[in-house]
Amino acid sequence: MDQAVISIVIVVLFTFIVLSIGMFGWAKKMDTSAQDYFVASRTLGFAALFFTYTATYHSASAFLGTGGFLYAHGISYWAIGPYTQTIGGILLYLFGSRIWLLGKKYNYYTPGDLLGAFYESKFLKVLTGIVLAAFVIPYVQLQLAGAGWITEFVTFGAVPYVWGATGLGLVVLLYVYLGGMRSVAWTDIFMGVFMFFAIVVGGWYLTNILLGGPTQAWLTIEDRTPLQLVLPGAPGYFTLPMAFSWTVIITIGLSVAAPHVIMRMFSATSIRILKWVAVLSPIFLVWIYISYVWFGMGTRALYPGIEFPDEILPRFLFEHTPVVFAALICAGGLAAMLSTANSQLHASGALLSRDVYNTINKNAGEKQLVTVGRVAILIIFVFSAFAAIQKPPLLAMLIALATGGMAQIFPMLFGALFWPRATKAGAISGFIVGTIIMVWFELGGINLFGMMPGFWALAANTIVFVVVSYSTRPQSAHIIKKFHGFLDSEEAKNMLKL
Amino acid sequence: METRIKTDEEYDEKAEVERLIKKHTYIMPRTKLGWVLSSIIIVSFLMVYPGLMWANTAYPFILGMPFTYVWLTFWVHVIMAAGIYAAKKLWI
Repeated sequence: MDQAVISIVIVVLFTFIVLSIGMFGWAKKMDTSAQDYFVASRTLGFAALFFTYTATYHSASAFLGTGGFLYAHGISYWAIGPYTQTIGGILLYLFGSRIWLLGKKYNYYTPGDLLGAFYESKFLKVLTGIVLAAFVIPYVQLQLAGAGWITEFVTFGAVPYVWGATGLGLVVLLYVYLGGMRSVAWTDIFMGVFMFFAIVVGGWYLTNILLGGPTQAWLTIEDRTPLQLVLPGAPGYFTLPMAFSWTVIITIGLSVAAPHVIMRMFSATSIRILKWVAVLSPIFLVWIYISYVWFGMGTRALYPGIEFPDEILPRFLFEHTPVVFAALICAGGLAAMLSTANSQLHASGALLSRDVYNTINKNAGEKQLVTVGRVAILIIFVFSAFAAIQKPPLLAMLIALATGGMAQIFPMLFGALFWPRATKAGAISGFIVGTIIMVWFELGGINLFGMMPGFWALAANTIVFVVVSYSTRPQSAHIIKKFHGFLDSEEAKNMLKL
Repeated sequence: METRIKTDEEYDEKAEVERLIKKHTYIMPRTKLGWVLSSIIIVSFLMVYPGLMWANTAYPFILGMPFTYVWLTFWVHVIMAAGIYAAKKLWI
């Protein structure tokens, strides 16, 4: 059988399985309420929550970008990625347990619900909803672009980039549109398991046949590209300050402040589930790259001067392994992309429906909120797909822009959960200053003192937040009791033990 | 210009807010085990940032792996272990 046909069959089969599981999730819905559509009626168990968190975390950058990163910057990756994932897990519990309690008590299910209530600000709720949804677009765009590239590559050009990006995007759109959080969680279980084995096995196999195993890979790297074994790597980009700023921003942006992560905190069926997901997720998130590190760095030692290092995994799979094996591993790459796109699309629907529309139209019914959420998902998809068709060349920059932008809600979230002295004026001014600096520095390519733009945006945001909070009147006693008083209460402790 | 005199209720509210802020502001661990695990996590992170200023070398190779890789892998697993232990013993 023709190789392209075999690859097309595997991609179609994978897509069909994902779509079927998504439809199954839709069929499993408990009711037609907004709560069920957006947070699965807070019933996600361990497997669903674990894989929807981890599979969403690893995106196109896991399959493509990491290869490019390791090829270009060497061991710098290992100083950033594992630390963002592990510390992120700990923050997931520290913030997540409080977010879960407040969500359960007051029926919150978006970041805006919680922030708008603590800061008593509809403006803040709408602002965070719109800004976070806007930062979702480059993230979804990245996933669709990755899906387009992989599909074109795997099918030897038989399915062009644009068809791959839009076709797979439409599949995701269909089940997210219909099934909401349940479809997202069910598909993420399948895609999470699949992507883990695909990346580990693919990297391991290539390391063995190209480099002669892990030990030989290290020796080859030491012999031919020794600069890759230390920071800042051969191009000299990842100095210690730059690596540190990436670690801070990605930890916060992807593990705590991202809207889809906060919605997963609300979705857990119990705090015990959230707790074990938080501390066990780093094992999945870090170990998935164990073999990729050998392969990614070793490839540079053997084949310097590759023009598009993001493509090394699919390219070497198709050059050095049987087509069925290569296509299956690349389907794992598609899993990484689609599992992120579905969660981000879903979160953007919740943000625009609950935080924006429901704030403007307080009397909106449950069905109306779901309908608006679906329309919002459609709109975000159209924007993202359009942007993806333009073939974005800078995957890492898109990730930096999106995570840095999402990280800007961190100070105000910290205030609502841990610091009762935080005020509305502090939160709004910090968020606006942080977002403006983020976009300004990112678009202007400004890396002050060798650190990424998101870091400076977050630093400015935090300073403004604290200074303005101390300069303005605190939130009312009623609100502090409602939030921090409740979090310290016996009632909350009993809820945690359930 | 008219100067408004604060009412008793406003003074009570202000005092109550200050009391609540004082009572509910804490970011430090509240148990001995909490302190120990937090210290382990912070020290482990410091071993990388800024510890890599001193540990940023490929040599010696340990069990066939460069020193930087072993160093980074070791400390991240210490953090993971501390998190798992916290979940088992400390967190509800």
